[in-house]
Amino acid sequence: MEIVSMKKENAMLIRLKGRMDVVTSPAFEQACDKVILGGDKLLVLDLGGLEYISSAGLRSILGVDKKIKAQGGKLALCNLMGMVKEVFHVSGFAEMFPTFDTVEAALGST
Amino acid sequence: MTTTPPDPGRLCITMCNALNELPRLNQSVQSFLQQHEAPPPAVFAANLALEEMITNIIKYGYDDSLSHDIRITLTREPGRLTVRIEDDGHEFNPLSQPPPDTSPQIEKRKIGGLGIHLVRRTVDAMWYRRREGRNLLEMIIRLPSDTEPAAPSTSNAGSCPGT
Repeated sequence: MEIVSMKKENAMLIRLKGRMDVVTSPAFEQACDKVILGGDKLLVLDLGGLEYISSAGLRSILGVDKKIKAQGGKLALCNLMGMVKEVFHVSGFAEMFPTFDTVEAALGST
Repeated sequence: MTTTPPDPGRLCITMCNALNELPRLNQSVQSFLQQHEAPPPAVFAANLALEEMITNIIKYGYDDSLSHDIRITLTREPGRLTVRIEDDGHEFNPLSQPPPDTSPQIEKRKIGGLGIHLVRRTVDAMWYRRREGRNLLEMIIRLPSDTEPAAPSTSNAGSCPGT
């Protein structure tokens, strides 16, 4: 999985590409830990490049959400597509997080 | 991990019960499915079925710290892909597991059983049996029937070495 972090005006944007599974999720959690330690209050995850996500990936996102909330921040998701979107719906995760169609809309959600 | 490709419509892999074997399993499965022009939703379903079930076996299937073989067979037939997993871990029937809590209240939610739930909602059929101290799990993923030339079903013909 490719993880690209970008500082935006009021938030941190992380773009994910490839497979988010039991093997690759720990790297994602580490990248998010850095963002949370850095003090950003809004973390936007762009999932448009994800080809695959499993329950391990969902659990990682849930763990990151709990950590950023504990710091008074929030997590927003955008660009859910295809089977990744389906997994979010089937698991009930789509209703648990603010989700947006575009990065711009997610960044404007503060 | 060993891979045996004796039959072009079948992929047989034996891996040991270690999560670091998964990337190599993924690569073999990916190239097999590409070769058979499986559509993206079927590739996703096969990947999910393998990862969730094998992760469960590795994490909860054994009490000892010994190496155990997990045998995986993918069979491509007209109109369907069959994913079969065989292990010698504790008896575990994923079909008898209650559905997880998928309520939207994050704080209240229990997360166990999510992987099995996802697989049950993604594959088209699943059966389980316990035989001679081994778990046998088979999952069927339907394919558009025109993606490969029609041929008589060979589901019972041939098998992988060692099965």
